[in-house]
Amino acid sequence: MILIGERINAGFKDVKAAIEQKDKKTIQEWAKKQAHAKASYLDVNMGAVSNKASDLCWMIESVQEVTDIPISIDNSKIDILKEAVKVCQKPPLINSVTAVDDKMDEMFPLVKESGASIICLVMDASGSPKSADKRVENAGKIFVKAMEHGIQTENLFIDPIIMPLRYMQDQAKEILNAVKQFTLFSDPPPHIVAGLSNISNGTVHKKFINRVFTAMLIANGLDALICDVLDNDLIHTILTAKLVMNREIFADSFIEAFEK
Amino acid sequence: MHVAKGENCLVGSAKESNYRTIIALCKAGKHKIIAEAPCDINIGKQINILIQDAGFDLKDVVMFQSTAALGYGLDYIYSILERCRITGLKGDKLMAMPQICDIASETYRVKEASADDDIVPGWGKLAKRAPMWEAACAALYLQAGADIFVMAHPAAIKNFKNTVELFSA
Repeated sequence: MILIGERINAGFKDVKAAIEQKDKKTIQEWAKKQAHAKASYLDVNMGAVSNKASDLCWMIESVQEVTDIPISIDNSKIDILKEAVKVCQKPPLINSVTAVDDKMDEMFPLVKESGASIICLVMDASGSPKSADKRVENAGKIFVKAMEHGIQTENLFIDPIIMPLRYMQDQAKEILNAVKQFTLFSDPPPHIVAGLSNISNGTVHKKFINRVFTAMLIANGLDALICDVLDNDLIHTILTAKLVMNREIFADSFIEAFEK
Repeated sequence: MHVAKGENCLVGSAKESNYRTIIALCKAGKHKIIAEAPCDINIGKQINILIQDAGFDLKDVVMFQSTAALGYGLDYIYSILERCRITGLKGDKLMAMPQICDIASETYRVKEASADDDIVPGWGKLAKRAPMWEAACAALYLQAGADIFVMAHPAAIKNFKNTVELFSA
């Protein structure tokens, strides 16, 4: 399972303040905590605090001073990404591009040249899809375009776009259905990733909703998650769901083995 | 153990009941461990977790899933070895160690490899039949993904080496 630590994001007040004040320490603390929790990538997002590549590069470099975990660059502007990719010490995961031809034609060469991986949202010019079918259609466009550009499936992450349960209750089922169909694109299939916290947006019992939905996503074939890697119960849910799906070999100490 | 200190021996078998003792001995004598899990891939993984937790480097561990002679449950062990190998190749570090098979001692316990010429008509000479049985058993485990083979008969070893060469050509 590919775990992408979500915490270095200007959506959180402390990180926002850290970017504004160029306070490395807060960012590095979160990097260390998430690294310790075994994140596979650390997402780095400067939100609306800045639109300067130099600020994003500063964040990435600050993270890399304290850990060697690869970066997930959370930005969709090609000019900024070109700069940010250069400072990454390990091949990054670019987060993200949409299923719009022009955008993909701009983004995929950068992905290919830099050896990066890319998260592709199944969203096109008409906005976020409402049905499983539309999600699969857009994912198909992405998949074909990525192949045209010579991007390997192992570097391709498809994101079905998670909608809040609180406001769009009919969507979760469509998302699960779409995820299952993404797994049929190729063998081995592309990675399937989701921004988990969207599902519980605006709810009271956030953590519980996150965990249950995660198990259901994994049951349908998801193998990467942007989430709170410090939520132990969430991580244990992931480990258990993988066993249930026979994607890992069972051993009594499966949780201890992960934590070691 | 005192005499063999530093000789880089494979020491076995470590099981859930005795692994701490074996680890202590192997650490002291700089040896490698054979972790045993009789025909159970889940216990196989568990014993590796325990050995790792006890501070022993998994690079110095080989897995022993037990061995069944040809015709005596070989297929059960075959599928465990195969599944373990595939899981290791897919990235599960706890299942990526070399796997050992005890070919000879299992083979020479079965009647096909030990019954005299005159006991069953049509089986042919024991001198030829026995090493063939041993070599065939080893060749099958090789295909399942085993790495270390404990063998006995020189003719069987010669034959098996040819098989290995054939596979690596």
